[in-house]
Amino acid sequence: MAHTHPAEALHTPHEGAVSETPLISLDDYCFAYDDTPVLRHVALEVRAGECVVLMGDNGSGKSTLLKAICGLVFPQRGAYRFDGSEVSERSMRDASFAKRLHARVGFIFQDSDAQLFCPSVADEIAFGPRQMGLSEAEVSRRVDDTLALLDIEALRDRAPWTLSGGEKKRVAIACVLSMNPDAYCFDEPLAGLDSKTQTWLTGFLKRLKAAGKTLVIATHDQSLADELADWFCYMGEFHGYEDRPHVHING
Amino acid sequence: MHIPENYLSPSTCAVFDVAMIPLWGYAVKKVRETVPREKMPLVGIAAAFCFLSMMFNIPLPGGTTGHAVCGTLIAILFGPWTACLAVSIALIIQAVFFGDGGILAIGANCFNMAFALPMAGYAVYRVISSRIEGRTGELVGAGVGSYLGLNVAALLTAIEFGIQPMLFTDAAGAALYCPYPLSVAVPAMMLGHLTVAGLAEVVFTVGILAFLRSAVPSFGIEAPSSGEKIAPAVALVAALVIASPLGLLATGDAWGEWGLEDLAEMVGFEPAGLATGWEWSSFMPDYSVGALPEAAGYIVSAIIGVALLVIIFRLAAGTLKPAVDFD
Amino acid sequence: MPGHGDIPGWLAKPQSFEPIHDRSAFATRSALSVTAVLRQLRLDDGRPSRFSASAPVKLALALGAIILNSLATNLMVTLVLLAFVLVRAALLPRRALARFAAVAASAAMLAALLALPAALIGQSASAIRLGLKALVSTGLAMEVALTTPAAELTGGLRAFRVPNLAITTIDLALKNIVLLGDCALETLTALTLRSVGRDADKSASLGGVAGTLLVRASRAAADTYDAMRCRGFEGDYDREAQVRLGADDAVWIAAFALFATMFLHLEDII
Repeated sequence: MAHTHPAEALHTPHEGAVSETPLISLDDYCFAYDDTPVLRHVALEVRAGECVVLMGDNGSGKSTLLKAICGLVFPQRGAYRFDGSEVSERSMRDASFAKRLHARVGFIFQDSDAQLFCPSVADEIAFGPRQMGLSEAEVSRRVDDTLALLDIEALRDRAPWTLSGGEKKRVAIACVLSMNPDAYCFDEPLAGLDSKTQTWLTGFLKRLKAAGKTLVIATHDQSLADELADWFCYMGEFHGYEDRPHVHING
Repeated sequence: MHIPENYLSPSTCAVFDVAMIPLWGYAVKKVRETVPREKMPLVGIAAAFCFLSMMFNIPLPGGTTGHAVCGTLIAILFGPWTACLAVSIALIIQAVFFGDGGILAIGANCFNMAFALPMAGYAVYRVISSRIEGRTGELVGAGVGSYLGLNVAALLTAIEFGIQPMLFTDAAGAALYCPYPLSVAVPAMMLGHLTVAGLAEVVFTVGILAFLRSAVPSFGIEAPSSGEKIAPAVALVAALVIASPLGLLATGDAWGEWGLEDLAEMVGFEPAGLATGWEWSSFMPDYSVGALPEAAGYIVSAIIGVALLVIIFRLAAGTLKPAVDFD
Repeated sequence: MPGHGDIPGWLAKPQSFEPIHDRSAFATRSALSVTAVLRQLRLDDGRPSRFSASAPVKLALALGAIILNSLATNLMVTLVLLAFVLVRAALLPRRALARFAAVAASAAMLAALLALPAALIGQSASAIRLGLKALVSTGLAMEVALTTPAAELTGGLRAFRVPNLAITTIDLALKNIVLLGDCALETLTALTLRSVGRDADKSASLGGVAGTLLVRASRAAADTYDAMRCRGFEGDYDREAQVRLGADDAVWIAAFALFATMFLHLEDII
């Protein structure tokens, strides 16, 4: 019988868990794409402030699960609740609800190219806060802070498509970060990065986690998982360390 | 039994058009609930049998012609509400593409042949097949049910015709629409349908049902889909299509389906509503198109009608939720 | 000024954001649905049936039928073709049928709509006729596309002495249309995820998406060219045109000959 949360496996409540009610809660979530089942009876609970790592072979549904959490796909059966509110096709038709959800859950794509569409890095980072209606002063402050935090001040006026892979990844994270979502979904964050950038990114994610953000990370990289995960979510046929706190889903 | 344009007053048409809307709505709901997605193409084939049976005109006593409908057949296979929808779609295709039955009169035609006929037929079938065991019970029920269903529809049609001269006359008292009163319409229609047309309905319904039960047992709503070939059913459809020109042999119009000139000759005047009413110009009126021999036109019409029905139901299947197996 | 090590104040607190009540998701949503529709125009998943003719024969006969349909004055020609198109469509796999129906029905309605003025002056038969002809021609083209794998479609052109370079270009174009469609979908999704407010200038964002796509497209084209160079491509691409006719081809050609004879008879030419 699959557990939704390895709370039983933890002997003490871990640091960082802010409250008992889950921020992300999937219940018997079934999703099929074009008649092919992709997610089967997924039950999952992520509490605020936790870092969960999704591990599974290609095709086990990791990306789809992240899309579900962001409200991009909707289940044929079952439900997904974010901070207690149900996220369904119906509820997302309400533009305000959808915008609120998108502002609270950030998604960093595996391919940074897909995410960047503004003429300059500064514009890219400013896009989200401007959408949120913040004052120009506040927007400007956030852009400065984000550029500094991700160590890309030199790229402020560059066009995103002229950047290298590692620089693009930083910009991609920056443009989501500037909106200050509560939860971040990362799809294979280390893919295609050189080892120096990978090290930097791992450290950065740790700081995000320390700041109390909820992280859901899909990755193949065991060392990233080791350093960050509060617990693991093994998907499909994948079997990782059995001695770590984990749940099995979509098997 | 198709009521042509302008034989019923616009108000009569409107009553039936409006009445059919909730019935169609309910039929759609029932079909979505009861017919599994993979069976919908079969419903299309059943609708094709219905469409084809209406192309085989048979001479009736009295000089007119009639035809079977096979609405009860669909009801037995897939439920009465499915039959309502399938026969309605067949009738609409006949009216729009082939000018068989009026456009405004669609509500009335559907009420008679798509609603009353299969409902009555199915009710009788259920009573009989529950009393008599097995295949015999089913076929007897189909025979009696389809016969009664057809005649219920014929009676309703006759009544709809017959009340026109009573209710809708011009200042001089001449009928505006159908000129034959109840005393003429009812006996005329019932004579033909209680005899020859009813027999045709029984033959078509029982014949096709028996064939399907033995050759394609999965053809029906209760039978589990075993993925076996439906080729025999398709072969029967093809055979009926090729044989359809036989329906041209019976000369003469069906009762109540005369053109204006013929009617004027018979009653001595041109009912005003018919003479000046609006007429829809279909592109294959009476299932024929000019230069080629009539038989060719009939076969081409049959092919188009059958293919359209199968396409419509296959597309409709796409709107039903797929039964994805998550386990 | 926060140093590189410090988390800025606004990041350390939860964000409370109330979206403005406004329906400005419209632009991205319509762009997304247009992209989804474009995906319907993929030419890469046709599958032939058991009785299919070979690709060059299919192309030739379909083109011939479309031409005869357009030239016909007698409605029977169109109706006979319509019967064929509908029967073939009824036998298509489900997804192919849905695409066929969408495209053919749109073409027919568009044609009938364009001919609406004729109906208003009492010539409604013309509007219906035009709609039918459009339905038949589009239906024939769709059916060829839906029942032939893309490579065979373009390869079939070889039988008509189309230069190999042109065919290769078309092949690459087809592949890249599909890839670009997928890219567009992803980027528009990313845009949707960050469009949480009112945007007075939606065109700028969509323009940015288009611009990024262009850049990626040109980069992909350069990469493909480099890859081809690395595998020995030097501008020529010689392949023999293989036209092998089978028994099915003979049947189809005979049927078409019959149809053409009927056409000539109906048009009073013979």
